[in-house]
Amino acid sequence: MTVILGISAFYHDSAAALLIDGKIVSAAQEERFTRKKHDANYPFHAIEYVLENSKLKLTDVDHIIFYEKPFLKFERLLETYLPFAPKGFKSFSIAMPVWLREKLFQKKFIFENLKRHDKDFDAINRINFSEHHVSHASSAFFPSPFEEALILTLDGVGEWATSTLAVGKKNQIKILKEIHFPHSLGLLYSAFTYYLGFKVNSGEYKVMGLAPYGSPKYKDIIKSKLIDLKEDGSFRLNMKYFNYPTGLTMTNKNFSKLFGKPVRSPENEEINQFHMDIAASIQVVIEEIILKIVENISTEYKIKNLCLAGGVALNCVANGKILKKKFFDNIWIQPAAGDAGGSLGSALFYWHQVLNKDRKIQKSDSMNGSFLGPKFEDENIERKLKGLNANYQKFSTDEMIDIVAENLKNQKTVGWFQGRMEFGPRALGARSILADPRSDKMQKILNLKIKYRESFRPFAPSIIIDDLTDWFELSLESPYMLLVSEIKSNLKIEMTKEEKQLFGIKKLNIKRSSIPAVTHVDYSSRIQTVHKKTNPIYYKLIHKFKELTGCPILVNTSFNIRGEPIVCSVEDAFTCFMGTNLDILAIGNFLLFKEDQNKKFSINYKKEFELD
Amino acid sequence: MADFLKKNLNQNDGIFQLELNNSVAKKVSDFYSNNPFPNYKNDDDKISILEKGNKNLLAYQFKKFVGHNKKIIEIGSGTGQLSTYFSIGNNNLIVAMDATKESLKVAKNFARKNDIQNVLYLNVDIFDDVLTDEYFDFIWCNGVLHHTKNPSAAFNVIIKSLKKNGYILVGLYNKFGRIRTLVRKIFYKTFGIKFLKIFDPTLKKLKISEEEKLAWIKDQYDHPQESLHTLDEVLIWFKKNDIDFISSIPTCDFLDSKYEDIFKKKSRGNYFYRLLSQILMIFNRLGSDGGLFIVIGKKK
Repeated sequence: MTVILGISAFYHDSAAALLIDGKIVSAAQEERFTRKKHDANYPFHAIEYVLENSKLKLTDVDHIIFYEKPFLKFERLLETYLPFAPKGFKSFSIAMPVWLREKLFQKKFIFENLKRHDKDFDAINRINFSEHHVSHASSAFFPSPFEEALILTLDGVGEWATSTLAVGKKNQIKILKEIHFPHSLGLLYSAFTYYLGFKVNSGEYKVMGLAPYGSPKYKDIIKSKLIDLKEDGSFRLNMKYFNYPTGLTMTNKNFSKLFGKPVRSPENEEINQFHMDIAASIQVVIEEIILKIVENISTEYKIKNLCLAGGVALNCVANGKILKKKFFDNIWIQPAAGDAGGSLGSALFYWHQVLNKDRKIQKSDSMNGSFLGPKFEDENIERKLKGLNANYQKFSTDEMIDIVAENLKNQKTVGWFQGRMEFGPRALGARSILADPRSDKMQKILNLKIKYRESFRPFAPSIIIDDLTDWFELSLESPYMLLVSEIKSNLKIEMTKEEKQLFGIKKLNIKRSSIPAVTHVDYSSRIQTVHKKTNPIYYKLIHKFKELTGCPILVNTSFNIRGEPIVCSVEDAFTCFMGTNLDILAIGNFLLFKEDQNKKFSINYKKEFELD
Repeated sequence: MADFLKKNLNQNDGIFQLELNNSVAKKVSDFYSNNPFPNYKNDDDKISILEKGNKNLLAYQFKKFVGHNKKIIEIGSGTGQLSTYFSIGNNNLIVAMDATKESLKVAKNFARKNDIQNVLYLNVDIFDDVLTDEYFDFIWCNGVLHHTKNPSAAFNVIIKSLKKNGYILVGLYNKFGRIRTLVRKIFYKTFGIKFLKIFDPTLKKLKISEEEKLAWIKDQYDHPQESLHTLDEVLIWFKKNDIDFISSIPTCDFLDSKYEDIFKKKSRGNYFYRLLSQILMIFNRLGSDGGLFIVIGKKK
């Protein structure tokens, strides 16, 4: 038996993944355990979990792979500062001591941390390093259902490469091209995220969600002033407008001057039409660049499959467009496309490419639906619920499903906690909040009363795969909620003349289709297809809901509030349930109704998490 | 053997125990056996303890920060009200440790009546050194070490049981902060209880029964063993044991005296800031309730 532990840490989204004889056994992000969103610390708890889940000690692990090489990153830091010196001295002097301590001495640092799991661990030579983009590319290709594929990783910044093109064949990947820092697509998007007053590295979804409310008025300015886009999709940024190579902010005064307004201050300035137009503009430009790159590589390399990873691959609107343009026959996107997925990728890279082991290609993929996290047995759940002073009722699985489906039909909102937790940023029906998509009030209720977030933010539908083509213009599986597609035109409700003239968020109140809660203002939806094989209980629930209502779709949003990591444990779920206006909590075979609970045990939950 | 103990102990009446062999601990234990502190009211239950705890800003912040599924020890738990509070609604494991068996019996009785299952009771002296190394995520040790024969040595013993990255909260009588109490003590010894009923702010402020008032007076003015300490002393203890300073009440940094988030790392200030902060205790609210100061640290 060969055990490989993959680790990503110290930048953002620490995580651990475990392979046994090449099979992906478990993976989880550290933030879920520490309850600190995007926790970048050494993933102590995630490693403890993956080891314990397989009843292993650290001394049983044969290879420990860290997802990036410390020295390459160090070089980048030095080389970036030199051309811009002495402008960036402030940022340099803050970053440098931390870097010297933690990165340069990383192997020793990792070794010392590893010893916390197991005092007997002394095999420092088992620690190895992979490269950032190789880790990402590996995570996108090795679990994919393809024998051969092009791999495109688009990211913020790794060691050097920010956009990488690779080709994967059987058990080997080869890097073909790289676009180097500071000319990064991810950072360009993040610069706009910053300009719009959202948190960089987590607010990027908001920009994507805001875009459909605006029109891309500033598209040409971005293209003429900010970037130099070549025909093949490669690009350079005009560094006159950015501050990130050397500074502590993303954009500078020139950038604000170009668009005529300062950076939005989230505390003092409401989002208005200007911000929506900016969001729409950058989204259009990003899509254009991605499509150019993709079109180019599809004609150049004549390979019919595409794998995507890296933070930008989470931009599902762009993914939907790649699909629509039919540059490739098949696309597969790693669900943990951000840095967390690097832990998995580095482990897979070591197994296949370094140890030269063959791949066993699965028909859908090898990710087990991304259900790779902790799971709680009913006995354990009951003990924990008792300790929390919860009032619960136990049912058989079928009874539980019937009751939940009936309540969803009656417009109740449900916290759904079943089986193993998802790996990656999306809730896929293991740690989800569910609701009826037919209601035209549901989007507002969920945003304002449960998630405590901005009312414009869209929700995604979960649809059982059998009914996909009857409802959406999509024929490909999208089990990880990473593809966007329009709703079928016969289900759309066209806007009247007056409605068409409404601007921005006012459009939100118009009923757009028969499933308004999951239809965005541009009639698009970020789709999750649900499969019997990978998520049988969730599949059954939606099936039951269809029997009752004729609608094979549920609203599926992550089980958390704004600023909080997705719930992981029974305690997290109960605390979130009690701290929000959720009506029901379905946890294993137990059901908790809000009206049965003693309110005195709940705390002011909203204040606990810093809003992002 | 319970895994939080490194020595084999008998369990009696649901309480792990060891015979006391240290004379100071015996003296203190006898004192509290006669004056159980603080006692439960007849109608106290989980909810009333929860509500009481939520009003205590320090305990409330501590409990909120701890979260779920953690291991906590309360050193000097007395009748276990705080341990009970920490145990409610979170699946944490709490060890309530005290040298006085009578107090722990009261605690255990309350736990039995209220179906509290996640608190374990431990009747030992700190110097028995029975706790497993690097076991607890949090140590709460408020108002205890100054009643031991050698507080700094006692600190060295308990800190061993803290995990790496775990937190400790220490509360001690302050050299300056306790001056008002000591002045009152002189008057009390001269004029008797009547004096205290007028001049002790706690007795005046709180609506408590005669019995509770008496327990408070005994604890504050008649204690057989008591020592006084300073912020700088605790900082030395921390340094010797590889503990990172996090924050303190009163503040070490005179210019930053916000106490809303006691687990957020603050500056250690300098000698004069610390001195000034402590001298001010003589005059402000912190010096009125017995003069305790709190220091929080994190194990490296």
